Parts: sequence; C-alpha cells; structure tokens
Amino acid sequence: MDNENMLARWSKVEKWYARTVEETLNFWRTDEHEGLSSSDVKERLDRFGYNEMIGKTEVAWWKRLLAQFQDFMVVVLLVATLISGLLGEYADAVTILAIVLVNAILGFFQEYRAERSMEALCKLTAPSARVVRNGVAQHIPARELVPGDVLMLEAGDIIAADGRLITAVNLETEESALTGESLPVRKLAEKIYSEDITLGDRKNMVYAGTIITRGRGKATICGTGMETEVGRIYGMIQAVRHEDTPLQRRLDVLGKWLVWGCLAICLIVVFTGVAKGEPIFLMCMAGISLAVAAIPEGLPAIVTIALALGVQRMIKENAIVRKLPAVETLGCTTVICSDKTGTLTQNEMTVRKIYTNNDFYDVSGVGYELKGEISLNKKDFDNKRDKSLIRCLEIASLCNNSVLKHNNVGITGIWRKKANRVWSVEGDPTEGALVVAAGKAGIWREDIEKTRRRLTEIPFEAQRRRMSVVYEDNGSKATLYTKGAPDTILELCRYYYDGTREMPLTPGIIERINLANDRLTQDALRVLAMAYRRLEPAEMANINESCEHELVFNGLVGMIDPPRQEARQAIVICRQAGIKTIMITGDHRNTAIAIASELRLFNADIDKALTGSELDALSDKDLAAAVDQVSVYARVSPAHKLRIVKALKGKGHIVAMTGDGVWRR
Amino acid sequence: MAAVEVGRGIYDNIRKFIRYLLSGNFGEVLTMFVASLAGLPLPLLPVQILWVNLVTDGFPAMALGVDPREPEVMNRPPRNPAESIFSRGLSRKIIYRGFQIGLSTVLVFALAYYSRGDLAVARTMALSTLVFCQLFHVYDCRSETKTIFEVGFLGNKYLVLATVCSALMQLAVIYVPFLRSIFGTAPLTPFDWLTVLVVSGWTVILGAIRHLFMRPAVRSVGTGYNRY
Repeated sequence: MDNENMLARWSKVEKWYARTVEETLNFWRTDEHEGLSSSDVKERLDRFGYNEMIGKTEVAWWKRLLAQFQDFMVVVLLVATLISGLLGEYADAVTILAIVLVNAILGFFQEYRAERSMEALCKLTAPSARVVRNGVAQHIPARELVPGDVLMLEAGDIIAADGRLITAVNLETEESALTGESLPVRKLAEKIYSEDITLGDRKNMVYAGTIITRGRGKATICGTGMETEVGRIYGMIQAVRHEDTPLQRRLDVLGKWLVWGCLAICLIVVFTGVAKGEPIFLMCMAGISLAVAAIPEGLPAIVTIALALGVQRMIKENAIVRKLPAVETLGCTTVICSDKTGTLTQNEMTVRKIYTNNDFYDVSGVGYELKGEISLNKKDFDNKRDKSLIRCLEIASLCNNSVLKHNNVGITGIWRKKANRVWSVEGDPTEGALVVAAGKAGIWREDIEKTRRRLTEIPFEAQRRRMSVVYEDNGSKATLYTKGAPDTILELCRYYYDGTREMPLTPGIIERINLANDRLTQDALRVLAMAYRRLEPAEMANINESCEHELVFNGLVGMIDPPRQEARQAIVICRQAGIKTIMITGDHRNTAIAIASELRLFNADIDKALTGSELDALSDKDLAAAVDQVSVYARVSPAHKLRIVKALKGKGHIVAMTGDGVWRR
Repeated sequence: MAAVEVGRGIYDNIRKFIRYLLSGNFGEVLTMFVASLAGLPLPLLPVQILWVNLVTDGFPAMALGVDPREPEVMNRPPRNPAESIFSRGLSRKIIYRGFQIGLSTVLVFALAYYSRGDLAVARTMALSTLVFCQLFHVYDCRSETKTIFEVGFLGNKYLVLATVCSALMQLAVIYVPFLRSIFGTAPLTPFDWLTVLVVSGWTVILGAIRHLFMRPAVRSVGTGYNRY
C-alpha cells in the first residue's frame, strides 16, 4: 500500500460525510465483507498509531500531592516547625503539620477534580470493538482499531472511533457527548452531505464516544485516536494546562506583588513584636504562618480549574472552543456571526403563500407542525368555492414522495427529553412543506391513494427542473401531475384552470402569472408551479417525459425556511448584552433580508446588506468603513467569511462564529 | 450564544473568588499589622493564623468557584478584553472589605483584652471574628451589584454546605477540649458570642434591616450598589 500517498491525502480528504460509501472504502483500500488483512492492520498501526488519546501525562498521585508542598513559604514553615519540634513544642509542631497537610490535600483534590473533568471525555471510549478482518468477524481491543477497519455496530455499543457508515438498519445513536443533543440521531448510510454541514447533521457518520441506542450497521473507520472528533476536543483541553491565558498571566504578576507586600508586612510584624519583648521564636513562627496564610498561592490553580470546568460546560452547551483563552474572552464577544440555515432558521420549509386563479392565499403555521390555516383575505378558504386551490394542493400532495411523521422518535422513554420537533419529514424538505400545506386543508396523499393508484413517476432532475407522477383515475383514464420551477412549467402549459374549466393560456394570463411569481419572490419565497393534464388512453402504454406537454397551469406555491423562535429571543438577549448579531448566508439577498427583518436583526433604515460580489468590489479599507453598519451578508463563500471576520476584528470587535456548530475566536 | 453566557459566568466566578480570597487575606494581614503597630500583644497564635486560612480559604472559596451565574449576565455590555481583573470597582471592594475585616478583628481583640484581661479569650474572640467575617462575606461575593438579600442565601448549595462546615469546625476548635488545648483557645460566654457575631455580621444585619423596611423601589436605589 502506498502509505506516503495515503498520508499526504489524509488531511485533504477528511470530509467523509461528503463522499459516497464506495469512495470511502476505496480510499482506505478496504472491503465491506473482507475487512482489512492482518498485514494491512500492522502497517496501519505503525502509520497511524493506536486508537487512543495521547498526550496524557499520567502523574502519580503522590507526586502531585508532594508538589503541593513545594511552595517556598510552606517549606520555610515546615523547617520552622521542625525547629520548634526539636525545641520541644510538640503539640504546636504536630498541629501545624496537620494543618499544612490538610491544606495540601485540599489543593490536591482541587487539581484532581480538574483533571477528572478533563478525562471524563476520553472515558467515553469503548474498551473493545467488533470488526471484520481477513473476512472474519472478531472482537479486538478498541485501541487496535485502524483506519479502514470495518466496524460492526449494534445497539448498546459505545463507538470506538470515527467512521463512515456502510450500512445502517434503523440505526440511531446518542451523541450528547459531542453535540450536547440528548435526542438520539437517526443514522443513514446512503446519504451524502455538503461539506459545510454540522457535526450533528452528518447522519452517515458515527463518532467515537457516542452510543448506539438502536439498530445495527457497519462502518468503515476513518479516524482513530487523536484524529477523531472527540480526540480533537481532548487535545484542546490538554492544551489548557500548557497554555496560560491572559488572565492567568495577569494573576501571576499580581501574585508576585502580593508575595513581596505580604513578606514586608510580616517582617514589620515580627520586628515590632520582638521590639516589644515578645519571644523571638513565637514572632518568627507567627510571621511565617501569616505569610503562608496570606499569600494566595492557590489563585492561579483555581483559575485553571474554573476555566477547565468552563470548557466542559461549553461542550455541554454544544459550543466547541478551539482555543482555551477563548473561554474567558468569549464573555467579551461583541459580534456574533451566524449562518442562516439551521441556526437562525428552522431548516424546515414552510408554505407561506399560494397563488391560484388570480388569488393569493395565506398559509399560517411554522415548520412541519400541522397547525395553521389557509385563508383568502383573512377569511378561511371554502372547500366548495376554492376548487382551484384544492386542486393545487392535490397536485402538491400527489406529486410528492415525502412522508410527514409524528413522534418519530425511535427510542422510548428517557431519551425523549425534548418535546419539540415531534413532527418530522422523511424526504425532501421542500416536498415536506407541500405535504404539510395540503394537510392543513385536509388533503392527504395517503387518503387519495386508497382509491387511486400511482402508475409511474418521472423523477426530478436538475436539468429538467420538474417532476411528474401519473395517477390512475376511474377506469382506464389517468392524470399526470407536474410540479417544478415556474418558468419551466409555464413553458409547458397550454391551458389554465379557473376553478371550473380549463381555459386557454393567453399572453395576458401568462403576464399575470409572471407578475404573481415576481411578487412571491420579492417576499423572499421560493416558488414552485403546479400543473396537470388528463392523459389520453393511447398515451398510457408508454408514459415518459414526452407526456409533459400541453399542461394545465394550476397555481404557484411560495415557501420559506422560517426563522426560529429561539433565534429571535437569542438575538434580543444578545442585543441587551451589547452583542451585535450578523447573518452570513449563501442565500439570495432578498431571502436573507426578509429573514433578517423577521428576526429583527436587520432594520432597513439603519442596517445594510452586502452580497458576496459587492464584497469583492470593496477594498479592505472600504470594507472596514462599512462593516459596522452591515448586518446581513448574502451570497457569500467561506473565503468571504474570513474577510468579514478580519474586518470586524480590525475594528476591535471580538467575534464569535456560529452555525457550523463551532465557536471560534 | 449560550457559550457567551457561560464565558461571562466563568469570568464572574473568577472575580468572585478573587474578591473573596484577597479581601479575607488582606484582613488577616491587616489584623496582625495593626495590632503590632498599636502595641497590642500578638492577636493570633501561629496555629490560629493557619487555622483561619484553612477554614475560610478551603471549601468556601471552592464553592464560590462553581457559583451559578447571575441571570443578568446577558444584560450587560461586553467586557473590554483588555480590562484588568480588578476593574469596575473590584479592587476598591477588596480594600474596603479587607479593612473592615481587619479592623473589626483588632477592635474585638482589643476590647476583649482590656475588659477581660484574658489573652486566650481575646485571641479566641479575634479568631472567631476573623472567621465569621469571612463566612458572611462569602455571600456578599456572590454578586457585584446586588445585596445578599437580593441574591438569596440558598442559591448555591455547595456554598451553604461549605460555610456551615467551616462554622462547625470553628466551634469545634473552641469547644472540643483536646483541640482547645492545641489551638490555645478558651470557651466564650454568650455575650462574647453576641459581640463576635454583631461585629462580623453587621453589614448583613444592616442589609436585612434595609431589606425589610424599605420599599422595593427605594431599596433598589439605596442598595443597588453593594459597596462592601
């Protein structure tokens, strides 16, 4: 195996969730059924090391306890105590020893506790793993796992390394150790995600330290030891101990001042006491004791502990801190840059408006929850009158493959802590939105399919920008239902439905439909057109793309990924805390502004919005001048993000990023 | 955003225990210093000094480090990252409180010494005053803007446990005969205790009176800034 090459590519190809199973298996030169060979394993163990956390400096407990006595003043006190013991003051000597010992033990336990909290993370790692090697399933110690191993997953397992799923049967894992999310995550091997997706959403991956709550599956290992996600966190926490934060450095300086100040005062106390005729030895002991008591030698240690506990708490809050001093500086954050999708918005499409037969219907409700009404001019729609709307929703629900689910939480009882998100959609979010909208009018594909059979589907393709399904009517007839991008669909239409009849599509009507489409897009809605055609019996023998012509235009459906309620509250809280929130998104300007306005982070009178191309046109200087007014960046790439953050920092802001689940300084 | 909140909470807690530790230590040093300048006998024996340090700096300081964050952390503007840990009045609070603790202790010691003439009793009272001053003060440290009564006593159960433990340990040193002989203490009369508690707790008592008798609106103006 060409190991050099493999290593060189290691860092480049990390995003396994964005690759197919094939690609991953090929990259690691492994086979789903055979696994690795013994010689492969040996070679890879040499190359990648054991699957364990490194950098763990195991210091014996007695050494650590001893270190508690190393403080200079404590040593002086111990020497003085020894002298007083020799002089016959046994009771005093023993008491002082006891107190010093208790103090040392207290300090020891404080350190010990901090250490424990850090090690809690790697405790999660599994003791053993079941893998396929040389074509045979076998148990091996988890530390012997190597990249490319085929790991067998079963409910109850703690996953021992990061892996890309090969197969998953009802697989669910609990990833709270990594993401803080206590609900189990449904895992799917087939899916492939875009590169910038958050850890919690990478449903084709399994991560070390997480627990399988249900189902079974197989995964190929692509990260072991410190190269796992949990390993990275661990490495960062390790850095705590070696990296002094600015706060600690300042405390060190303070500590030195205090030491000298205290010593000076102690000396004065000793001298005045002696001058007054107190016994010299008693005064010396008092002076030394005072110095030991008053010098806060434990201060830097306590700060470290507070910071370390803080990191742990932040991981619980699902924030990952890349640099340790960030814990204290996070509190100084003045600007939060947030991704739109999934962070500020629900990542659940919702139909807002339906245009049909020259009427705009409003649809209320948010997300996939089946709560909301369809109304025309503030009045509920009428089943009998609004025939055109009903047909439009019928197309929406029939020309659709997604399924709305309620309470689709796999595991019972304790895992289901959060009551939200009981509604979910299996399938495309856009189609999910259509299912929900139709459901709000009481139209369900499942009901219709009790009497009508779906004959075929002409699937969606990016170039075609449309999809169709054919449903059988009574007897030998059938109807084709099509949905797709408005311009594409309109080109294929010859008629339109006015609620009673199919009328020829005149240029005037087309103009009206186009205007309606513009109006919906201006409201930042994503628009889909609905159309249908009754098929001739002759066509039914061979249904294909060529049937998608002379369609009857039915209506336009506008939908949006609505803002999250929590996000709105969070933005208000941030504003009270003097923190400005900035939205950075790849979306269109209008969509971005509409969402930002709803979230009240954009006010057209004060705030500005910039697009990626506008950003390119600005010099760094111009950007620096503008950056304080801009609260929405639309159509931006990751490179733009860096420029924005740089410009903000140049202005003296402390910037935190959210959205990809990661906070950075 | 939650992380920002946690970050602010941590920084607050660091400030809390720095405030507590430094003002307590300052008080201890000042006790010895003032007493020696005033020509009084040694107010605390070496073992007693170490004892104060053990009882007050151990568990209560640790408990303060895990204090829950105040609900208002997100209502404040962001802190300037360049600011010193002692800014926003912290150093003044430490010095004020240090003086209060130190001078109270010397006062109790001097009163007891001259009225009773018994050095062991005077030292015991000084020791108790120093310990209880700090055990009351630790509750003050839980907020930089609110009084003890606005924050409440029971919000941090570790702190309650720690202070109760420390208080019991202090009583043990005075009332367990074996420990009494080691630490050179003497039993106190109820009047002695009253003196100790009043002197060490007068800020709390004053706060309680204000809390009980002032209308909420006035109170928020009157005690909105907790100086000590």
